[in-house]
Amino acid sequence: MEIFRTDCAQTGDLPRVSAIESALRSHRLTPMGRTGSYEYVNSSSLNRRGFLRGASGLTLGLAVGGGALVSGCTSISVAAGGEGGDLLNRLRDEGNVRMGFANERPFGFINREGVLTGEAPEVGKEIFRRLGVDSFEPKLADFSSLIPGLKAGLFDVISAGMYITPARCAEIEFTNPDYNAPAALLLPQGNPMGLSDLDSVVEKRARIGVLTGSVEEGYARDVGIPGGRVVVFPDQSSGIDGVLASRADCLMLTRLSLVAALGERQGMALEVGETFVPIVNGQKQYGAGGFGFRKGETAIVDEFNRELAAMQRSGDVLRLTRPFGFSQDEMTDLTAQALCTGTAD
Amino acid sequence: MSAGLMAYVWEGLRNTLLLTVFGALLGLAFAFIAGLARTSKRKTVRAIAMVYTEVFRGFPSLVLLFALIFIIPQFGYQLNPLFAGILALALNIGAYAAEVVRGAIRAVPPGQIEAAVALNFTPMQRMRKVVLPQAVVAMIPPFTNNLIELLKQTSLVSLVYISDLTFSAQLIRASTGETALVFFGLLVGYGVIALVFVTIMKLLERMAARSLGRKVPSGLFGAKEVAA
Repeated sequence: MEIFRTDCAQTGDLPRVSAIESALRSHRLTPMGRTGSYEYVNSSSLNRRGFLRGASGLTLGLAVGGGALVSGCTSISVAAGGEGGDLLNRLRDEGNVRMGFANERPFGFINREGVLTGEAPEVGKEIFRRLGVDSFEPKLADFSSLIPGLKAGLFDVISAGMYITPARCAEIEFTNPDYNAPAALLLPQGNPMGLSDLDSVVEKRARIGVLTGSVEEGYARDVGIPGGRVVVFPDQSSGIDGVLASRADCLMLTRLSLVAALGERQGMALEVGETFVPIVNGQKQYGAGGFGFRKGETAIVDEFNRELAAMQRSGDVLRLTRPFGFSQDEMTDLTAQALCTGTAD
Repeated sequence: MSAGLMAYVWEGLRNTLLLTVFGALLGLAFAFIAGLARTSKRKTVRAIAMVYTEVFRGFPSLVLLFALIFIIPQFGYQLNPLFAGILALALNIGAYAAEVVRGAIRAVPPGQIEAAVALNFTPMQRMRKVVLPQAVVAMIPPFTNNLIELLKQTSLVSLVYISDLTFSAQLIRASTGETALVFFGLLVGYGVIALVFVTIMKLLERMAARSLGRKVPSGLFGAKEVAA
């Protein structure tokens, strides 16, 4: 059945249903069936056995159809087959790739025309086109469900600009990053406290604003800012309001997000500081994001990396991502391996 | 609204209808199997049916959906998400409807069964030719309730990222920011679909009643109920 979008043979469920119905119909010729002793009023062509027969035929037909579905057509493959996986071949055969995204501007979102766009989808689409896959199906999920969703086979690739971290590398395969978003501080106009990076926040005993559950929240605690000076905001706009209202002396996010957020709220007495790479325990913390595939699908990752490297050299990545606020500052030559093992510097 | 966004609406509508129709049919099969099993003479059959009914009636569909979509793949087997949605909803609604089946069978007057025994019907013939034709008529109104309940439950699948009507609406809301319009449209949409299903069930009810020689008054509002 086409509706279940599987490649199983369409072994005519309908003939099977009608076979059952005709079997039921012939059953009517049993002696008891012919007596008709229970058809007390019956002016219409419909009798109750006819009604029941129809109903039970439908139910039985469904049970048979359901059985056929369960037996072969209802599952999809999530295991990486063979050495390095055969995902790329499967995608080429289908000509279609299902891209998981979290509807976050500017990384991956559906625009007003209903088209999946953003930094990661645009780069991803171009790479998939070069790999011979031309059709893209957007699959929306919460950010926190992207990895479970990928593992569960709801989509083939995570294309949401997901940061490459050792913890995530343990769960899925990452391509090399296509961007690196350095952090910046959102500051009141004029920067009265003279803040420039995470260290200066520690030195000047400033209150730092972060978003709940963000990597910045972890960094702030790890560099030893006491909990009382870490102000946690539920989302971007309340973080901006918090700085405006002096609930925090700064708000730490990527330069990208800050510029995008300020773009929507012109004329605020705020400024975005210089970019910096936070250093935690002597380790540089990059905000470098790439594409995620299921564990074991290393063949497609290698192909993907090759095309990505070519696009980075030719400047195509910058050209594709510039409309979303990316600049030369965000381009990177870090590798997934270095980010996964924490050896990038 | 742009054509691209409308495409999501049609996809969502299609999936919602598929979930409702197939969920209802599969649920109907579960309901009849479990409902009839609960009237069985054998204690083990009754016990199995009872366990099914109570487990899936008490089990939130949402938890079942998460289990089918996110837990089963850990064993290396993944159901097609849409089928998983249908299965979860059918298991749940089937458990509710099983009680409807059982209740309706119990409600057939004992005199009918005694008459069938007197006429030397086998238990199978009794069920097929005397009990069920009367019971089915009584089942249809509560089944209509179950069907509408199922229709509304289908919106749960949006939480496991199956693109039903609610999911599409959320997507459109996120891309256009038209919260009020989108949710109002959703409200009207589900209402209209429910009305269509109610109408179909009304027709079924009328057909079933007529097959017993009873009459159900026509028209949307029917007429004053009279004792049959």
